[in-house]
Amino acid sequence: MRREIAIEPKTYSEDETRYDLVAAALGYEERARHLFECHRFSAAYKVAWEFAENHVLSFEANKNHFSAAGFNIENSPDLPRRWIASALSDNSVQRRKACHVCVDISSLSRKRLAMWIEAFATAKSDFPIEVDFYYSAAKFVMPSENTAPNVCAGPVSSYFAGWALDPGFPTSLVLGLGYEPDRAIGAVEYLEPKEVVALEPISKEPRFTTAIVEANQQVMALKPQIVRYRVERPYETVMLLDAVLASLERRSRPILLPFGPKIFALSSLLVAKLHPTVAVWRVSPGAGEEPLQRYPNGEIFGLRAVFSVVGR
Amino acid sequence: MTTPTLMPSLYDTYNAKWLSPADVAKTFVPPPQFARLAKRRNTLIVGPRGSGKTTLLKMLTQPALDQWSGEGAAQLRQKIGYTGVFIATDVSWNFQIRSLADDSLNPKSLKLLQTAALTAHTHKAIVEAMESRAASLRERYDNSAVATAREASLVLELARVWKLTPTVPSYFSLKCALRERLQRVHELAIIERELDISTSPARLIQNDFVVLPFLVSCRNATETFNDIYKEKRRFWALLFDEVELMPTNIREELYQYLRTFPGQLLFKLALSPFDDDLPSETSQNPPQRDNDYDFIPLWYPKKRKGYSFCRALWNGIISDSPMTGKRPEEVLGKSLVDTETDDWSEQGTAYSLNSPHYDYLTELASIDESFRDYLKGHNIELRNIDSIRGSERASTLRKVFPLVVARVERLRTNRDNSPELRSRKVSTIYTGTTAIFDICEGNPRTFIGLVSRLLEHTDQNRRRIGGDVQADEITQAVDRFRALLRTIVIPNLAASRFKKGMLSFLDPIGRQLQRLSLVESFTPEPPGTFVVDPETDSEMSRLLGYALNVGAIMHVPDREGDEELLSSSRLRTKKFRLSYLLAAHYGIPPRLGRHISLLSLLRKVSTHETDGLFSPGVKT
Repeated sequence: MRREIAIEPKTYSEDETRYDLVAAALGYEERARHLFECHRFSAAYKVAWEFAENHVLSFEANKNHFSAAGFNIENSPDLPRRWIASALSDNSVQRRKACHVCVDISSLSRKRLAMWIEAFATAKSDFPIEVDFYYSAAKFVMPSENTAPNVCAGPVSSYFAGWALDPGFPTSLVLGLGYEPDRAIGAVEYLEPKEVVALEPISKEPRFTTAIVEANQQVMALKPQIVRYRVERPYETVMLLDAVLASLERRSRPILLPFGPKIFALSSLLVAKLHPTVAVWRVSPGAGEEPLQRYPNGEIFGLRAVFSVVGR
Repeated sequence: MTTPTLMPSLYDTYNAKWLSPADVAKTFVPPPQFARLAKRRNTLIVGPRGSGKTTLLKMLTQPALDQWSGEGAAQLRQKIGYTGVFIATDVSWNFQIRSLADDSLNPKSLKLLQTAALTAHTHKAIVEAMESRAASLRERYDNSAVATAREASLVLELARVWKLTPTVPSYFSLKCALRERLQRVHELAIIERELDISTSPARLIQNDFVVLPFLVSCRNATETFNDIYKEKRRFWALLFDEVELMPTNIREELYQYLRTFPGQLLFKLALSPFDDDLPSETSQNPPQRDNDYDFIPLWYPKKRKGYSFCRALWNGIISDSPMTGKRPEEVLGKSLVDTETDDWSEQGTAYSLNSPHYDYLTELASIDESFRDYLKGHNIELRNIDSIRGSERASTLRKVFPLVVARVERLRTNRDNSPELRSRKVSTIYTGTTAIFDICEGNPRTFIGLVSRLLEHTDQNRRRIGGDVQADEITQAVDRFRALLRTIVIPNLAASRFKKGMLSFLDPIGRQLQRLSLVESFTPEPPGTFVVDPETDSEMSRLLGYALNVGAIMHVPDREGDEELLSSSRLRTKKFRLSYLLAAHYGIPPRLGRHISLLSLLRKVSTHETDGLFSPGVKT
């Protein structure tokens, strides 16, 4: 069974609180519960995916909140697949022949975000799955001064490894810039692409913009092509990425490497499924990364993806 | 989008990976190993990052050989006797192949699909090489109609043996069919994940192309070409780049092909010096070095061995610049530890009273009691330097002079009148022609990157580039290299105690060697190399392996020609040194010196300095 993805703009609405499945991330960032503090969601299935490590900072407060709000707390690796299957078999979904899901991506890791998208795209059911992804932006905090080395590198999952048909074709890198010092340049050195397109986030917070520039001086010295995107306009980012990939695919094997805000990672993962040859990678310090508190700044952005069955 | 340009790397401005073979040939400077590599023999070509492996393999292809006009080009073209097939690969492609693996895919199926993907990819590279070879032959012998007929015959025959159905009998159509086959491999992987895992291999082998034998299918193809194009005695060489990146089962298979097989197919594999899946450790009957294949190292444990190649690279770099014809000494000057005719012609030695050399010696003697003891121990009074005999001067002063300069530049006396290190940019002992040759170590990517930047400082009067400018550029090169070491991806490091990265391991080694050379009591031959102890644990060995691959450390065999491919276990008992580029960061002179046990070196590091990284130190 194959599903195709349609990506739509989604404006956060305080009125839209009824879903079949609501999914959260249970980690140490305070913003992990912000969306659910603002609104009480009604859903037959509510799950908070717990991280096994770093039970520090706001972890306990988040856990208490999700427990009180009726979320099931789990950390099993196949959580998305199981919970989607449960939601799809619910009587209400069977009656409506459609499933409506809400996922808060603010504190999800890129790997877990990829697992959710894979689970939606490969769910065994005839019904379309309409997913509203929400992202709570964070107040600015300085990145950690202790640079951990890059220890994890590769496609974010096998599902996102892409499948290019000509390995003799040069690699190009679509690099979402983040503010972790030296992280991106390490990735460039590892992948040795022929061409780099750097996507630079533009934020209302000037300190964030400054930190991005400072952290990526070495990448900028390589004179990549720079494309700017606005963090609060994810649908525009989707269209931008789609155009960049369409252009690069004609002359190279593009790899998407989404450092930077999680909403950019979401856009990258969704757009990649529109371009089957494109791989989405992650390069990270793994468990070596120091936990950093992130408080919500009050802004919530969204994207909607509809996963519909084709060609049964 | 703008026209794509070659992406300069962090550490250099030249990377052959994405250049066409013809473009590589335009600026090719053959290193001393090239003639041996070009021989009609199976070959393992081994070198760290930037040592020119990709360039050398691409130079063995028809388009590169046709384009190359350098010295010896015509002779090599005559002699080479085989057609090179360059099989490109990179990190991304190899992850793609590895990603076929999934919990829901049978391991046997994974192996079948990975081999099928490699086979299709290699077949496509063979077709491209055949196209180039045929074009080269057409220029010599054929008219257009004959060429088209030969192409059609060949394509039809290849399609038959490779189980393909090209739409028309042309090279282009055959390549399209091979692309479709690669697509089919991916589709099969997706389908098989949804089906019964236990019967997956049986289902897969129903696809005839999945069971195509790699070696036989390649050999059949090349022999068919030779028959049709009447080149019965011509060999074909499959040139695999970056073999260390490939999935283990494919790598093992390629190693086995280094054994001499009957037929006219050669294998030349390029890889990094460290690989934990070496054939002799995994197979019963491994190919034998020298008998089955040649082993060609692309690094120079002894620095002088790389000088002639550096000179050739220099001439290549300046050939189209205003500096054409200038010797490196005319632009970069002499190294501080070298002497020029002017220095010694009058007195017969550069070590005369009031000479620059004398000044360095007296300066160190004034601040370093241990050096004064050294001089005293050898009955040397510096004020009588002119009367020291030549042989005595060589064994007592000339021998230690690089160390003297390094200590003068990095040492100062503190309030307690004891020596301490001062921080400064790269020492001037690293400037000047031979010193720059030393830190580049014959690594073309390093040399081209550094020298190109230095040449940007030349003016219209083509004056010599000053030592300060050189020191600044070298300092920047060192900083870039360290940034690379700080951020380079090391798979599976997260779970090890070295999760802070490669520099957290190399810096204590460098600082200890620095202390032994520059801070501790003067000794004429401080340790400059370290031996990996037999009890070194596997985490440390693996990290050393990655340091070797990236060019941060170099293997120094006891005898020239004993260079070898190393694994975690084979690293043990071997001798290494820091790369001279990294050594420059610590101000250590570029010399081998004595060797010291790695663990004893690291035990001297204070625990707080390394978070106790080295206290386990040994295998458990």
